[in-house]
Amino acid sequence: MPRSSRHLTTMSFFSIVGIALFVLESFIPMPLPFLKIGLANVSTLLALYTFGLTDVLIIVLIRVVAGSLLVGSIFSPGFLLAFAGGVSSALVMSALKRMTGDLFSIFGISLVGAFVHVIAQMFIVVLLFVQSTAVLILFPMLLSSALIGGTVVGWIAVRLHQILERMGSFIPRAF
Amino acid sequence: MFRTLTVADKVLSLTLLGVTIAVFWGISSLATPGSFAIVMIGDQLAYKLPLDANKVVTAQGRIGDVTIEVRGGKVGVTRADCPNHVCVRTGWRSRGGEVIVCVPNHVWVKILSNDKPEIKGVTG
Repeated sequence: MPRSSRHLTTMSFFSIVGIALFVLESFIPMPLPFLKIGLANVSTLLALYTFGLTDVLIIVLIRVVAGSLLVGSIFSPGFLLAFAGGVSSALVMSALKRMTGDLFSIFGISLVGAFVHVIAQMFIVVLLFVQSTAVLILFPMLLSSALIGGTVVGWIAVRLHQILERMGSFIPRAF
Repeated sequence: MFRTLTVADKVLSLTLLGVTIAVFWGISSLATPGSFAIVMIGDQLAYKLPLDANKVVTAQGRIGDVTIEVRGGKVGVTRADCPNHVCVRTGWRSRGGEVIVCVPNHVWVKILSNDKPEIKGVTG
């Protein structure tokens, strides 16, 4: 069934929010280049609570590709990391949400997504770039950043979701 | 905020916090012990000291002497002719990759390990 124009507009809105956050985050200085809060995950989370998996993946792909184009990191190692992290965390978050129903709030889903994100990136780094397990020294730091990032992003997503729910008509519940 | 969190959320948060702390602890305890220390003066290798034999050596640095001591499997700078004694305050070190530097004297001690990192087994 073709998507309605309203559906497509909402999808583009989520994509552009993701792109904006992706670019915004590249301006935030971090002590180490690979540490990130993962702000763009806010858009993935909200999309998860609005659309089905296919649409969420489309939104993630648009965000990663367009965001990397804007930041200038396209086809660099950073792009591959953002790609792998974004897609894998979207897949796992979607599966978790479907399997557990209302057990976790957006906050819990966000935390899991953040951890999957860094673990996937770690795999890519070890498999493709460094080929040495010495990178594992960075693992505790990455996990802490996932903990902090997942909490911050989860909190923002919970609040935004409440606001969007209150606006009601904005989020089309079913297509 | 806390009202919106479900019980599962809280359990999950605490679990992930625990996992992070456990990994922190696990990785640091897996760090390879050093097997010998090298003493460098500028880019010249001055001494190679096995960590399993107690020994005291003196390196002549740019502005004075630096005394390096191996004792009980650890290496440390015990005395140095330099204004700040940062190297002495670095204390005793024993893990592979650790470095003690006396900047004014251009003397530095690096701990090396012979064997591959044991961490190799963890990735799975």
